[in-house]
Amino acid sequence: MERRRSGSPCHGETGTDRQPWAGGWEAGDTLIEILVALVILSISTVAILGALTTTLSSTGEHRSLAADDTLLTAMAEQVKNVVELQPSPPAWPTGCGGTGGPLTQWYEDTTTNNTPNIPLPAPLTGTPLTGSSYYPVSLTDPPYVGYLVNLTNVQYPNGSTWTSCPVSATAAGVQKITVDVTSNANITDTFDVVVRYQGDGNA
Amino acid sequence: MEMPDRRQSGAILVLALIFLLIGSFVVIPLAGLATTNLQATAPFITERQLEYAADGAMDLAIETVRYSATQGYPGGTCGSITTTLNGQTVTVDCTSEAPGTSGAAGEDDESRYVSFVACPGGDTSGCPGQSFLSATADYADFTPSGDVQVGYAVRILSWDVQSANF
Repeated sequence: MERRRSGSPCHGETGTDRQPWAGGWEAGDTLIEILVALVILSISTVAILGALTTTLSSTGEHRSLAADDTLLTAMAEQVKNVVELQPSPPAWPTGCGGTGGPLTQWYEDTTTNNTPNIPLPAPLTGTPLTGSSYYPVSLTDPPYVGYLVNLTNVQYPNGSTWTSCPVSATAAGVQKITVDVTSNANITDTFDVVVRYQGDGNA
Repeated sequence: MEMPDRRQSGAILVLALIFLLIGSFVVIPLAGLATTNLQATAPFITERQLEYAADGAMDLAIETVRYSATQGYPGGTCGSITTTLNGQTVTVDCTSEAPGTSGAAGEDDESRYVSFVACPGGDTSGCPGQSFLSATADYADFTPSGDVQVGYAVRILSWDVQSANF
């Protein structure tokens, strides 16, 4: 007569359906135990993988937002620097803005005299998209390779609102320029920066 | 020789529960990290928007007063201007000062001297204690030859940025 070394037989076992091994008993697990364990392991594994995936994707999105923010701020400061702060600034740009207006094109232009009116802030470099005479410019410097920078709209003040064309001669002295940045993850961020005529007399 | 006296019944279940416990310790901080990152992004973006909105509104106010024949003169009204930039509404109040009395460096005795404060929101009644940008400007209403021309020149005498943490 066989006997277990200790304890009672496992569920569904009898003392005779287990084989002794080296003098001991391999009291194994029941099918239901293994299935429950498998379910628990699966759920926890899926949860961990899901959390990792979410963290990675949110980190990527956060990085894109941070890069967008950096480029937007850099480009906004570049616009102010070129238009306002140079010892000999370019002639104050005029004309109607809006999307596609001559004033907006002046800000977008990257080809006139091979020198863009608003170049990318150093040390960033980029190339206008193929077939485009104007922005967007595709950046070529890590970590911004493939990011698009675009000056898309210019408006003048009209009281507390903004309009495409100046409502008076003196209203032309303030312009709101819209900067767009699109990350290579296709996240677009938009930002408005205001420049003010600093010269003497009317703008 | 006999093996030590031990049973392995239920070991996998115990291990699975331990794994689940360890997994919980990993998942919760990971989720917290992701949440914190996302939550931290919004205030940074909002603060940047506020700062540039205040900057733009201030430029708008300075330029508006520049060519005004009624604003910013000693003893007169100056008013306020409210505008929305980058989704942020900002009000700029201006106060007429007596030229030549402030002692500000570079102040021109023959010009309008105006102080501006910018605050968040559209409250035109003013923004005491909440301003996050203040500036002073000196206007010259004459040409170098002495002819009167309102807003011929403007100089920014001060530009002080306070915290935009609201």
